[in-house]
This record gives sequence, structure tokens and C-alpha cells, in this order.
Amino acid sequence: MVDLTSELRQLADDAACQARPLPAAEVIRRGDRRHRRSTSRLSLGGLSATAVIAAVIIGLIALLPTSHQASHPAHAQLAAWTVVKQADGTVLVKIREFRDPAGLQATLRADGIPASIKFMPANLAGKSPWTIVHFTGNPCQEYSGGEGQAQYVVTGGSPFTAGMFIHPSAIPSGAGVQFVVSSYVGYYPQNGVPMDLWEWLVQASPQCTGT
Amino acid sequence: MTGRLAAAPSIPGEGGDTLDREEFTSFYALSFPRLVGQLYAMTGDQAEAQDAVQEAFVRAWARRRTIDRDQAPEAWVRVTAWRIAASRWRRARNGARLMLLTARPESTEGPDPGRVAFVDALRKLPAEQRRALALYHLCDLTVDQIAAETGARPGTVKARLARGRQMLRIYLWGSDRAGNRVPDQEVSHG
Repeated sequence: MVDLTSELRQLADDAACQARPLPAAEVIRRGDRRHRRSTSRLSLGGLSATAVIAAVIIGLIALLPTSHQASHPAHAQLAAWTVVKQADGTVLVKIREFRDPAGLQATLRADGIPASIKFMPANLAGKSPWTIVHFTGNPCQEYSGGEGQAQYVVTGGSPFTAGMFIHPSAIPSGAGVQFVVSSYVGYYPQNGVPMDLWEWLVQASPQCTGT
Repeated sequence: MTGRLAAAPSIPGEGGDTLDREEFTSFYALSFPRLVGQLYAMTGDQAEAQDAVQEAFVRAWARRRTIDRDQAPEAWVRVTAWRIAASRWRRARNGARLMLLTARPESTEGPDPGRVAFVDALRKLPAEQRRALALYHLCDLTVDQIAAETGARPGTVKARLARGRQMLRIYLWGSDRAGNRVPDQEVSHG
């Protein structure tokens, strides 16, 4: 007989014994720093609308690549998503809406990324990551070489706020990347963005990544 | 939240509305290991649990003026830690770990084969089922309290508990046969 309560308590006790907390003073220091940052952001919110708009415009200008190496003319689409190819070959991606996944997929492929894109705007709360990336009809299969390289393929911040960078040169031979954009599966949107992105390496194939 | 949630953390120095430095330090020392244990049961990953709880305490201090210590700050930290751990974007930086976390066991558990098998089975459960089981069996929350903490309906919580137990039986013994050894404990206590 397995007593679920006893088993779970034993597991938790073992984990608790192995817990190595930072000194409280360090936690407080980090908390104070975090509080100061959030306070600064709130202060920024008090700026006039004109100033904010000006800052956004300046930011957008700064995002534009100075030396565009792409084979197609228009990478920047400031609607549902934005793809900007950098001079060093990395690709910056921002996603704002569950719209036009085929266009995003085609754009990434044109920039040399064997990509598969799936948008799943339905409510996926409670679904496990494993379930989400194994959605019904997924044309892709997990990359047989392992996922260890995945951390080098995609870097940067959230694709819904700061933007993420895809590094085509880091993609293993025979592999591609699948991005599954879903509704937020936690309970509260992070940073007010009710979207999550799941990426994993997959086997490159015509039906999955187009190559 | 009331009931067992309110009884969980004991914050010294009752009387004010927010935690001061000394109270927070005591709260942190008392609650950190317990919360890491709880998050470990929910996530199946010791390092993830510790990181998430650590970050949640940082946020708790940063927001101490908005956290009423009479309203179960430990529950606030637990929910925040879960959100941090559950954030795909955080896990997305470690694509391999995501898959391992949800589908494959690690091999660093203790020598007891029964315990290893139990941990492996637990890790195979969907995260929300693990979370519900941990909150019910480990944190002693009622179904309604779990519903409040997780944002799910009570019926959903009951389903997750029942399904989680059923899947544990299957993972441990290969079938959900009658007379199984993971009892269907009553899910509406309290």
C-alpha cells in the first residue's frame, strides 16, 4: 500500500533538507533593488503621452537594421509579429497577436531558419508542456540528436516583450526549430502578455520545416 | 483565504499590516525549506523549486507593503513561486529540461526503489495534477482552497486529483485495477 500523503511528505521533507537558501540579507537587497526598478517604471508612467510616443518611435528606429542582408525586401511587420534579420545573421522575433503563423513561418524560413510555427490561441490552462508540443496533427518529430543545443539556438528575452534572438548557425545539421505559441497556461499573464511560447528542436523535413 | 491557509505560516510580531525586516527574516527562515519541499512535489525538479522559491521571496520583500501578513503570506509566496516555475518563458531557455521535467525521470533519487518509482510516476503527471495533489496532500488545503489558489473551479480540482491518482496507479502498476494501492482518498475534506 502506497500512502500518497506519506510519500509526498517524505519527498518534500527530503527536498526541504537539501534547500540552500540565500542569506536573508541578500534576498532583502535584491528585493529592494527590484522595488526600486518597479518604482522607476511607475515614475516613467507619469511622463506625458507625447514623450512616451517619442520614446517608442526612437526605439523602433533603433530596432531597424543598419545593414540588411535579407533576400526579401520587407522584414519588419509591426502588426501581429516582427522579424528583423541582424547583420550578424541572428534574427530578432517579436510576437504580438495570434495571427498569420504561416507568414511568420515563411519569413523565418526565408531568413534561413528551418522553422515550424503553430499558433494555439485556445485556452490551454492545465495542459502540460508535453501535451502542448505534441498537439494533434503536429507534422514535426523531436530531434533525435537531443535538445541540448536548443539553449544556443534561441536566446534573449520574451518574444512578447523584449524579443528573442534565433541563431541559425547554432541549429544542428538535420534539425529545425518548432515554435508553439499558446495562450498563457499559468493563471496570470506575465507582464500582462497572455501568451506563452514553447520551442524545441525537431527533425528537419519537408512537411515540418520545409527542407 | 481562510481555514488551513491562514494557519500555515506563523509570522512573529503580530500587530502591523506589513512585514518589517526582522519579521521577514524570520518568515523567510521558517518558510523557505517548507516551500521548496512543496514546490519540489509540484514541479519534480529540486533546482527549479529552489530557484522559484528564492525568486518569490525576493518579490515578496519588494512587495511587502502590499502583502498583508494576516492573509497567509506563505500562500502568496507559494503561488508566486509556482507562477515563476510554470512560466514557459523561463523554461524555454532550457528546452531539454522542459522535456525531462515532464516526461523523463532523473536518476539521482535515493536508493529506495519504491521511492524512485514513485518519484518517476509523479513526474509523469501533468503539472496541474501534480500541483493539485501536492496542495491537497502536502499543504492540507481543501478543494475549495485549492480552487482559490489555482484559479480553477472546484470541479476541475476534483477531476485533477482523481485523474492524478488514477494515473499514478497506472504508472506504478501498469493498470488502474480495483484494489489498487493508491487509495482514492476523499477529496472534499475540511
